[in-house]
Amino acid sequence: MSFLLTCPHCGVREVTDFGYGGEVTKRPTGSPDRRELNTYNYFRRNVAGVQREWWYHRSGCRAWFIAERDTTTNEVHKTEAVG
Amino acid sequence: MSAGFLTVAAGGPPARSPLAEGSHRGAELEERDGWMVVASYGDAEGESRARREAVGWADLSHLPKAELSGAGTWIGSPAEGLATPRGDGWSCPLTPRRALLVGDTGAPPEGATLDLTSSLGAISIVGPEARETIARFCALDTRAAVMPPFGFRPGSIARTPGYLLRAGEEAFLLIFGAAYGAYMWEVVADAGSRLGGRPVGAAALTPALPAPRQEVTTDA
Repeated sequence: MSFLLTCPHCGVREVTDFGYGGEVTKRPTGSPDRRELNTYNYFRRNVAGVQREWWYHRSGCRAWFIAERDTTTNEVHKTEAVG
Repeated sequence: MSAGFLTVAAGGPPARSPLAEGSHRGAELEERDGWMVVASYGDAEGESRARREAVGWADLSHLPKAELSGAGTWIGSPAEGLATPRGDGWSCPLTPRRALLVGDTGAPPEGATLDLTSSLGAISIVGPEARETIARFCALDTRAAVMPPFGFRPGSIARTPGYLLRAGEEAFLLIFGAAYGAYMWEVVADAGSRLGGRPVGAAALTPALPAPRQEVTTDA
């Protein structure tokens, strides 16, 4: 499996330049109970289609960013810097 | 956390390059700024010819290197992919809030710096076959139209995280983790020697190494 990702800072690179950080999830606010924490830590939607996910450019700028990728085709629709 | 333990102690023994296992073999060494630096490999003419007619590579790990973080004019725009000359060095943008400082840039007017001199190795690759040498172990596009002089690219170099700075038309600087020093020296030597190149000392580099103080026009 191989595809290209566009780092918002460095530009287009092979996917092997990056580390996958999992799908974007919503962090619980306030004082979450155990069920909410359990859901946050261990449950994922595992979408078959376009999902927002974290990537880390470990061979480049060493910055985290968000990509929208179709998990069925590996087509990357867009990437964006964070913060 | 302080990184003071990485700096070369004044008055202490000279520091050795992380590439010394390969780059110091057969070399004539001299001390510069607290580092043992390869002056030559005993054949100044041959080294000069190699970098003029094929390719030469030199261990420049003693070059000061630091990471600048924060905001400010020195960071520059990573989207342009160009290093900015600062003093006798360059400011190489990584993200809108971080830059790698290479060479003697002087103190930046703002932001926090972390000395990386001892934790990063550096190899200069110069000569007409420099691009071809790099192409044998690195997928970064070094064509002049894409990466003009002073172009800067973070990316995978010989399958390790690193940075590539184009210091001149035929001069590149590879920067990588110190732990990969011996490996990177061997990779560059393997690629370059097949193209008629050889390792060279700092003396043979003198005219080819970039003069960062020169003004650079980026809108050509």
